[in-house]
Amino acid sequence: MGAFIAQVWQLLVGALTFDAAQLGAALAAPLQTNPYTAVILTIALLAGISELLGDSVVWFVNRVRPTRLVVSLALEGVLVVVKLFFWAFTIWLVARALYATERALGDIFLAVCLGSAPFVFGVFIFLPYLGQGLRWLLSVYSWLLTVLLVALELQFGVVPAIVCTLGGWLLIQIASAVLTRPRELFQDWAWRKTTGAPPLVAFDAQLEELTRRLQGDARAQPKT
Amino acid sequence: MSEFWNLLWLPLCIGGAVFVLVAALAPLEALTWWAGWSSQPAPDTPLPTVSARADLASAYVVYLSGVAAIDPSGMHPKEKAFLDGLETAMSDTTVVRDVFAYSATNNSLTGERALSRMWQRINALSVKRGKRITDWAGLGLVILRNLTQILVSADSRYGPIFSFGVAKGIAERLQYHGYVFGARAPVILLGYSGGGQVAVGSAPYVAQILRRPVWVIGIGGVYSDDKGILFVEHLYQLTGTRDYTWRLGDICFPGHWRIFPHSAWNRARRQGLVSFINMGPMKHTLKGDYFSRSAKLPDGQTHAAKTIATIAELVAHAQTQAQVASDAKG
Repeated sequence: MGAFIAQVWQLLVGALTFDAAQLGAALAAPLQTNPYTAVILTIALLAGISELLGDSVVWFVNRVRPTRLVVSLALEGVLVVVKLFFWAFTIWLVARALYATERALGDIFLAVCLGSAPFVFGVFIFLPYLGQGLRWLLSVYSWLLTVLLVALELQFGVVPAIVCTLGGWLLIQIASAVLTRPRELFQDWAWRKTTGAPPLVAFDAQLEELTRRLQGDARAQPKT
Repeated sequence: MSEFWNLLWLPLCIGGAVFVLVAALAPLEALTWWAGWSSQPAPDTPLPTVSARADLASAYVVYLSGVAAIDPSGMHPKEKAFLDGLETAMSDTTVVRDVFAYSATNNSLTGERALSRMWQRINALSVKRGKRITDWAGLGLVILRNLTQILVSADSRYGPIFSFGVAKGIAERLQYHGYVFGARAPVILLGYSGGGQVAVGSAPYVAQILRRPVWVIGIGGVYSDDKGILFVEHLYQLTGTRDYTWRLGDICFPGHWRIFPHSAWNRARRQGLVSFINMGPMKHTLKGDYFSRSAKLPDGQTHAAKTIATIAELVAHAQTQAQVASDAKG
């Protein structure tokens, strides 16, 4: 166990410092036989949990009961994995289409998982005001790391790696726009099932309703 | 040089860790209140029913203190004397001074909260501040705690919750002091230092609850690029030439920078919603500040007298504007 934690720590530091030699070694073998697979997935898990905690404001805003938090956290965790997988899939698609690579999707998934390493600091997104800037910083940090990892994984230069990651991102934006309604329906359904709270309501709408009620109360005061 | 860093790195690390800890805890008060997890009355608790009074004031000024505030009822004597002077100068105006700007639930630091005993002790020492280093450390802790609440107010995720809570507190205290919903009397939020940001942040919600425009007067106010500024009737910013603190907003908040012309702050400036009023050689705090009764301007007027006279003039102006708007509505 101690050795595993040491491996996680070592690879995490390597990822955060863009240590190409160490990262290249970690991604050298295919997913099934890669001795680093568990280490990389643990890093992605830590980053995912940290980012979720940083984003926990959504639970407070929507008044989720504390007892439902764990279930909600688990679902959000699954969604984080789905997002990573989808990004890996789009990178794989672009790489195949433009550069005719033969690398398996699973291997690129590993690279993308490791690329999320900077989000181990994601919990600090919770910090007031500074957290918002930090989110951008971590996103850029994570993207740059993913570019390096894709370049190492596919034995590309920097430019094709940038094309693949940006191309993948673009595909996600297109899919997201096309599938907005089904995505919202699924999110609402998952939210209700896991949190037990009413469907997600925009904060502004909540405030408007609240203000209306307060005004109603205030108007009811007796005049002398 | 390396010895210098050896001496410095430990205090820097400890300071950074304390800041991160205090900042990380800062949004929890507003968030747990909103989520219904705190012992404070829930956000949808109705405003208390208060009988309307016949002796309505012609204007209501709500004072929001600076970042050194601990408890509005135990204000620093200099600040209290300034507000007394303000009340005397504007006899037909009610000055509401029992709103604690740095809490979404108007719960002062000495109120019902986990560390209230510690804050009470610091508050008791604050009057004889300057005697011992521990007094200053206590003050530093208060400033750090309240500063992180300003960051909460400035944050687009937490700010609306925090500001709505402050606005609700303001509406409650206004009612308590005789304000009648729908009254013609203008409401002016008077924010000193960080209280300026809290005033601007909560102004849209105060206006929404009262259904009346809200004016903001900042005494050396420090502002983020809060969208609330676009909803104030006008922001009057009093600035002393020896006050450098209010400029922190221009440095720390990117929305003030010219490279972001579409930020709320820059749009408000272009729309003429912000006026700067030069108060002469006044400082932000301590001797020679806006509330000082000993420091005098070249014309012999004390700083406090000049600040009071300027605010009274602005309040009178707001009254006229409110009257005109009301008459135009019929």
